[in-house]
Amino acid sequence: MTPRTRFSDLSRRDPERLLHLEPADLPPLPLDTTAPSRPFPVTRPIADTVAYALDDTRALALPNPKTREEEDELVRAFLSGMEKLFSRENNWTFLQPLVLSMEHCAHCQTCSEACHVFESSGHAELYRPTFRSEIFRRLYFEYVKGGGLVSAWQHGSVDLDWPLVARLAELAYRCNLCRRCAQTCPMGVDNGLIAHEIRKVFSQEMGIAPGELHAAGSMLQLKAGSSTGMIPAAVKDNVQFIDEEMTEKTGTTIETPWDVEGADILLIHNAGEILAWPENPGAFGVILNAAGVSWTMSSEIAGYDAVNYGLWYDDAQMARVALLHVQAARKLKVKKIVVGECGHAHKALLVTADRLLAGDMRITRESFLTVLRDIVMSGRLKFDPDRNDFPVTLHDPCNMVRLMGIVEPQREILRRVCPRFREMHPHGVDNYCCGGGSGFAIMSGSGFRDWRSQVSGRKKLQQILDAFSDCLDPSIHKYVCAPCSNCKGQIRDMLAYHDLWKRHGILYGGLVELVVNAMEDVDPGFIEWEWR
Amino acid sequence: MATIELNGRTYTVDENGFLQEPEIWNDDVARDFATTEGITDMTDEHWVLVRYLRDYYLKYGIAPMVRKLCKETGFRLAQVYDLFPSGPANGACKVAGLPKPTGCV
Amino acid sequence: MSMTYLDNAATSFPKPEETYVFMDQFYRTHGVNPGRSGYDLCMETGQLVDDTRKLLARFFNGTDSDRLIFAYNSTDALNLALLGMLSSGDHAITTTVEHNSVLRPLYHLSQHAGVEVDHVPFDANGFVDPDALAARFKPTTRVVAVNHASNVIGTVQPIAEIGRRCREHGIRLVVDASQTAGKIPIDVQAMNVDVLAFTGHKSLMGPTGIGGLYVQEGVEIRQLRAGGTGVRSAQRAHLVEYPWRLEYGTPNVLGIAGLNAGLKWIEKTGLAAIDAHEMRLMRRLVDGLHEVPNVSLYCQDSLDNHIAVMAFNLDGFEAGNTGTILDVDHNIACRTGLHCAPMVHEQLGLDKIHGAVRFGIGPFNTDDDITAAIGAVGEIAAVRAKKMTRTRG
Repeated sequence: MTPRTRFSDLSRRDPERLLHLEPADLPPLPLDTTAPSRPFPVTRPIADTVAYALDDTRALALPNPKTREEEDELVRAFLSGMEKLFSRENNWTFLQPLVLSMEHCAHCQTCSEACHVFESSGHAELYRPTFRSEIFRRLYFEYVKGGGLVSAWQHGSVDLDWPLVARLAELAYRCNLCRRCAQTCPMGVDNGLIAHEIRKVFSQEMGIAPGELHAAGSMLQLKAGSSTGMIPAAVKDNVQFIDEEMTEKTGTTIETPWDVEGADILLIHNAGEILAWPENPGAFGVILNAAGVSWTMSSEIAGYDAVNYGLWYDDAQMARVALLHVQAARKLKVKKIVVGECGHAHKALLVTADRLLAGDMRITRESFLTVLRDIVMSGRLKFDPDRNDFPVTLHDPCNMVRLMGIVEPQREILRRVCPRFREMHPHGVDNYCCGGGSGFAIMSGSGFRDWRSQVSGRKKLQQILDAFSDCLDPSIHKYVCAPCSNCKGQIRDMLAYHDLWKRHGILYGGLVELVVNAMEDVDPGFIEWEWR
Repeated sequence: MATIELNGRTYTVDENGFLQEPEIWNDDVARDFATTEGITDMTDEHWVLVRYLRDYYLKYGIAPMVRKLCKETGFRLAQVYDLFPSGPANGACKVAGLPKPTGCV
Repeated sequence: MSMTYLDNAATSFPKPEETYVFMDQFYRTHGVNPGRSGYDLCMETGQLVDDTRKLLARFFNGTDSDRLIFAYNSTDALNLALLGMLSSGDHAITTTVEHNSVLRPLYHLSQHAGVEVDHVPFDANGFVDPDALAARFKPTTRVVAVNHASNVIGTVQPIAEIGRRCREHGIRLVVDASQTAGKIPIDVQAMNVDVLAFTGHKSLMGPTGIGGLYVQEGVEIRQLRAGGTGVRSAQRAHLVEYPWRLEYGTPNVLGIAGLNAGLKWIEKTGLAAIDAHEMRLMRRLVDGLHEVPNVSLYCQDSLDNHIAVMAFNLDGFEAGNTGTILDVDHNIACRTGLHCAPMVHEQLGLDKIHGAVRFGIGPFNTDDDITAAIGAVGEIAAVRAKKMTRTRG
């Protein structure tokens, strides 16, 4: 492995990447090593010339200043953004925990032991949570708190130049924002928050963010209605198709209600489900109709797409989308919004947007998990758990579980409908991130898919294989239940990367599909055992 | 942004090889991009998929659901992978000149 | 006319801005007695002392920062070392290129403590021959004390080779690095040095009043002083462990802060860059003075193994007078006389004309300074020549 990265390495002006990982550097996976697997890192060269390379992949298209003056201008912009970040007017969302995280790190490195990215990279110094945080912290003490030589002696200093700023931007996109570090820290310092706030400086002040999250993500959602690009006409067409398919498949009549005023629940899915995993919104339709719930979907812009990518990188975008979600609900005068199987959408709308929604904007928002648990445990639906007679394990999405505390409802459901449910270890609030968190699951360019399949997702893959270690034979079909779109996408990509459907019969899917698969009043075989 | 040369013609593509100039797409462009899928000869079956994708895209601005693509064209997903080894999204959509899918898909 | 400062061999002037600023800021916020108590300021000031020990130990490639002890200057440090390493009946070898900070303690020991001292002369080029030095080894030889570079003629002695010879015979090598620390690299392991003495106010860019020793493991130095150590105060005897063994009472916190800032400045600027700058100016100065008639330069034929310190005289002038004219007419600051290194001048035969004029170049000297110095010496020489011709005529 490359030698330990130092802070000063981020200022290097040579084209060498600071960190290069080989498969031998990473902790071994419990996989049959004679079976073929993809070479790592990606052999295709990174497109575009990268002036100041960080590692084996790239998340951002950074500006390419040609002169020292241009560089200085960018550094000034960065500092201006940092200054704003530490003012109450500009950082009405996260100022207090950010300041506490700046001022109280004891440098004990307990957080590092909790970080899956750090561990799975073979303890590469560059990915240590405090490596990124400490650079930002030193800049904070010098440029925001006034600095001086005594401060530099007490807190350390880093040379501020464009290469450092450019690499710091990129490094902010090597953290899943899962908060395992914050949970472990004895002081409550939040390295994930620091990574998030760094991303915010770059996006809100300098317009720098991954294309998949911003231009083709939140901006597209604000314009077309969904980050998938589905305009309202397209989503209605697609959902109608799904309704027809579900009706045919389940033997029950499914018709999704659109724009019904006065319904109890406005259900908002991650719109990607509709395109990639139609059986998921389909299953919601089956369950809600069978349970006699008064519900509707909305064809307003963003009213049918629960995603809120701004949660990961930009407070302004986050606020804009959250307001659209609430407006769609208010227009229909529903009693509450229920968010479907999407982790970050949960946290954005149910928790982070709280401060935003004052007065009559304060509409009830609930997770589908508790709604579903109430339905499943109420006895309204009849289940035959033997229909789910296959090993099932549960991936706990960080946003819902560790970060919102919704731990038991999904387990009550699984215990009710899946007789061969087994936990991963650790699980619940101690879970590991799937490796796709904070937007990584939809970022694939310049080797990013390889990086997240091999590094940030490695721990989760280990957990999946360990959870099924007693039944790895490919003839035994197994199901990783991941009640979150992005987690599913990441798990799909990892299973595909190592060919695990063929090698070990491992499939993945959401929670609602398992529920429908066990419903007596529905034709059997809802879950199809083929790769998707 | 990058360029790729196919059959002697140069195209502007994104990092994943998807055409960035949608207005120039035609059958010849499709044939050129098909070479990136290892397809030297586009059969009628290839064209059925490409036409469907193209029409849907022009109407709705994005690619159709995979399942819908299969149902409406009559192909099983396995057959789609047979025809376009990179699959419906990364293979067929690329040949049909659609942009890479965005969002949580 | 602003002063041209060419007396960096006496002390460096000016210091880097960081040295002044850090001393002020640190002493205002942290000017308490380090390590004596548990409150934050005390702990933090103690941290600075520790950090500076580590910086210095690393700077000299020492392995144990506890063995980096602080004293008040090189002379203080050399006294601690030499008086603590030599006893009655011991033989010590030193050279004629030494400064009084080595000569006088050894003289004192020879007069009052029964220590035999030999002085090995330097050769025509200003260097001590390791063979000649080793030829003086006796079964009673305990210590060899050599300065790394002369504060008069600027020649850098072959320390590594001398040290190698000492190691072969179990003799301890004490090196006075007053002139070289901060000018050229010093590696106590590679140079076979047992005890290194340094001062903070010359090329290490710190203030006066701070210096110290690095003592290699296994080297015994007797304790001749005692006092407060801040830890284990109940013990009646002074502590034997390093660093407390050779440190007594409240340290010079202000000086340590300045030294800390100076070291950081050197690391930031780069020792090689400093050396290159100074020797480039030295080359110009020596070449320029060569062109001035009636100027005598000493041991400056080749500038290999030199630091930017040089001595010269204008024929017919006493050194002191040359210096006074340089000061009054040309505002050039330098040092004249015997430079506390009497044996250098004796060996060069300069003691009869009361020594020489010394220029010491530092990192803040510029080409203009050198031009001024050459011009000034040239002018004095020209005036003298005219006067000489007038008196003759």
